[in-house]
Amino acid sequence: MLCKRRIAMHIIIKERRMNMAFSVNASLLDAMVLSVVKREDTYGYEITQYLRKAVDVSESTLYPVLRRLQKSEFLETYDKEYMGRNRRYYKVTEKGCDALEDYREEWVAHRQKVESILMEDKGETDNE
Amino acid sequence: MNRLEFLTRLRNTLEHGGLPQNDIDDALTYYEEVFLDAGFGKDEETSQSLGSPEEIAKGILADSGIHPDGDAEFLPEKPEQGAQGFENSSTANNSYGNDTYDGAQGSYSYDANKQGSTYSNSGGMSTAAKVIIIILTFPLWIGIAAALFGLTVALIATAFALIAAFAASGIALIVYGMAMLIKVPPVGLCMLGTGFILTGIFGLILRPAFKGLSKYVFGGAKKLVSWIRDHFNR
Repeated sequence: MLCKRRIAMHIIIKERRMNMAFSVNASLLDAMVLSVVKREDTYGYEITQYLRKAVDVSESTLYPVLRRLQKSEFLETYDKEYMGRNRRYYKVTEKGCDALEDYREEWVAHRQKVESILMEDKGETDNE
Repeated sequence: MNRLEFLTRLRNTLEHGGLPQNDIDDALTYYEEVFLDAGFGKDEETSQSLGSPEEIAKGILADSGIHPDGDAEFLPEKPEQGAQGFENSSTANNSYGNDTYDGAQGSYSYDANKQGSTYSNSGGMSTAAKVIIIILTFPLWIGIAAALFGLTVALIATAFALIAAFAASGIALIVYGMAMLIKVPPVGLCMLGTGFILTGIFGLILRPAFKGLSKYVFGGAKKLVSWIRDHFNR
């Protein structure tokens, strides 16, 4: 009974959150944004659109992330003209590259630890 | 809500919260760009996906350490900022609680690693820490300490007043008794006698007793001070 109710709740949550059962925390967002910007210098709107392929974020979620990364000197900005107005482009600094490498290592370690429990009865290899 | 309305409401809330002007400009530049990049004629759609400008402003203010309601003592909750749903390809079919990942966030947080060393030496408490703890807990002990201090002072003052009263009344009775001895001899004699008795009590009993008491009180205070000092030096 309780279980049924919980499942129903989860379905509601799932629908509301666009099928996203796990939350992304600030560090993970930082890491993902660094990774997106590292591919090529880009601007706010495009970063959001790119991240949306994987996570449910809006531009307003991204703003504090970008601010934080700039404050930590992981990202720097420059303005570029586009259609008669300035567009703010983001660029990963050297410090940001180092941070991204650290994040990537941490993520691999973290994923392995989570999967060692979550994927225990599924085997380690068939979940990629 | 169109772009202009959104940006105006955002600016107003940020200005009301007292955010520095360059931070306000930064936020407005960003959000204006979002509207422009989303495309002409998509204002409604964009503002809907962004959410309420007041809520956004509150978030920005909180990130800058400003409480939106003007409370001075407020710490921004940075680790939770911007938390959103996400889906890992390997876990798509599992629906657990939304905060499952939050519990483990320290393990891959870059900042948390850097700050980790700061907290590692909390094993032995230093003298400074003890002093800080004593200062911080003063509302607990100040009442008891004040009461004890007041009681001690009151006891000493009472003893002192008692002795002074005996001495003063004894001497006064002797002096006045001598004068009365000439006018009304029996009364004068009686007064003189009482005066001598009181002075005698003062001289023989109370003064030595007071001396002993004061020695005990001062000795006790000294012991207390040295006990506190030992406690800190340990």
